[in-house]
Amino acid sequence: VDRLLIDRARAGDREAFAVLVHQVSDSLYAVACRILRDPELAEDALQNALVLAWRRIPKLRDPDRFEAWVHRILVHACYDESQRARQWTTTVRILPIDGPSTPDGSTELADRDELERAFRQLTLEQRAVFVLHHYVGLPLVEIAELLEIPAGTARSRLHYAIAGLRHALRPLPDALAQEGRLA
Amino acid sequence: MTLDDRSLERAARTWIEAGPTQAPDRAVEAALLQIQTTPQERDLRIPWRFPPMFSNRLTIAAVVVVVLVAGLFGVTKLASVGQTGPSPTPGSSVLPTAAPSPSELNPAAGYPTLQGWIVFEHFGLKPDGTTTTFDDNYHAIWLVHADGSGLHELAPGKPADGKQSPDISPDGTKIVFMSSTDASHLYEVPIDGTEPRELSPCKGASGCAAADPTYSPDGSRVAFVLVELSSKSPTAVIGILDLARSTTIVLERTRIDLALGDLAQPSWSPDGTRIVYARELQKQTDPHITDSRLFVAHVDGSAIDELPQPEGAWAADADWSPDGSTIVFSSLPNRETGWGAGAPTPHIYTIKPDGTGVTQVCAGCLQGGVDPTWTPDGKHIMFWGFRSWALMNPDGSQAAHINQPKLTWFGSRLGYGYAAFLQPTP
Repeated sequence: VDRLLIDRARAGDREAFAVLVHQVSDSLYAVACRILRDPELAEDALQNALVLAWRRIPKLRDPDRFEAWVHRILVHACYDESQRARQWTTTVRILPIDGPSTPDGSTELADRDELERAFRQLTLEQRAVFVLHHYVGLPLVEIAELLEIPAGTARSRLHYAIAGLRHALRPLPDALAQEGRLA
Repeated sequence: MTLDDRSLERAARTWIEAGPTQAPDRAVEAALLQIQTTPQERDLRIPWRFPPMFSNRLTIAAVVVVVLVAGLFGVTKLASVGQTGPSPTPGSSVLPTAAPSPSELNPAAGYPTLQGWIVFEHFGLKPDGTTTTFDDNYHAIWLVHADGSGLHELAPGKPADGKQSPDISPDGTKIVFMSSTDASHLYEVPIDGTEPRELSPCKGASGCAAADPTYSPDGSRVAFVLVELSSKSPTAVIGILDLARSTTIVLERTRIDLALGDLAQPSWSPDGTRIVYARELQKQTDPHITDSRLFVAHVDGSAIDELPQPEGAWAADADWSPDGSTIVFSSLPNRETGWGAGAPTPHIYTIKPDGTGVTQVCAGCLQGGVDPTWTPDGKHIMFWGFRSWALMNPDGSQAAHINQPKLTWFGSRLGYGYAAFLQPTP
């Protein structure tokens, strides 16, 4: 990202900011889609994040950190959008109704529906860390800095995200037993 | 299913890679469209130095004024009510001479025979009453004679983003002002309002804003607050633009980190060798100013001198008297938000340029007392007096609104107008 464009945008140049928007919007949208798992919500989150970034860019202290900064705004926009969407949808608990997978499930785990269901059971915070780590490729230390959380928190969120996926993907009888349904 | 974490992560990573990678044009275009009408948030507080005054606050303040005018209470006693900031009562170290008693105030007297233009900002509404809906984005400069005649807007709609912080040239032929955008620019316009020309105080510098322009005594230069945003630690510094050469110098000793505060309202000494300005401290997270002091910068860059504050009071928005002997200032910076809502009651003081002779010339000051300026002849001090501008003698006597009530209220609802300057008609 061009440092000069950032400086101009900080000084109120809308055309410069528009150029920045075109440079980062694909990446932001991709991240929003993967966190929210809903293209329409992701569009709204992207739009809100871009407008908020425009409003706040004069307060950006370190232009070299622009991309991390705008990703932080996006992640919080995703949180907000998820909250807003939650108000209009009933809570639906997704149960693993398809039964257990085979013992060596690496191939089966690639099944998108199964992973989709498992991923949706994670919290937004866990999803964000997971996406930033495994999709954007950021190390945990940078994620912690980006989200303004302690490094330990970022680490634990990723741990619980993996654990959550494992929990959601484990064989059905085991899952139900743990929840006391087959006791 | 038994998968180790590594396999699970690998599979999940493969899965998470799939999906959309391009933002829909409609989302991007919608955001860009919204941005066109969205102001930026700034720590600088350059364009919004006075918050909109809510009508209930106006009503309360109006009642206070009525009570004051009726002489039911002493001005000083009223002024201290509800104060949360520094005490306006000076201490012994800079004990001022006594402010005029209420009986000396004559709010109805007016100064209808005063000659010249008053140039002033007006926000929200047009003061001629042709608009009735308060518009937060309306920032304009108007002119009017002291007798209330000749009221008109300066160069309407040019520039489109509004105007503020005007100063009138010493010969009365031109006005310099800053635009109202976040990235403030300076403009100069003939007093007849023909095409404004943009000045270039930043000249090639990125992340630069300019505020509070003021003409030098000979009109050849403009001092202003230059804000440099491009570095990792944005700063404000007093700049001086040579109008003929379009070159800018900065007085490095005045520079302040914007994380600590800001500079405001430079004013030249009549011999052009010094500039008094306010340094206002304000943490980024604090909506209110925590301190404001006056400094005198030598234009040759050799030194800056701090002027003493009245004990327990701030010092801000200074103006150097035409004879060079006295600086007038307010105890309340005009950019302080929340004015009238718990902020310190403004008073007006004078001080000699060497830092001696601090004198409180009015207390309460017709419930106004911000942004004092000298009239060109040095015989009066003009200030924002709650509902309109007011004039008083340099000793604080004969404080009165100008031609009250003709210039007050400007219709059914008050839009802010302040930072007025009076110059003879060219």
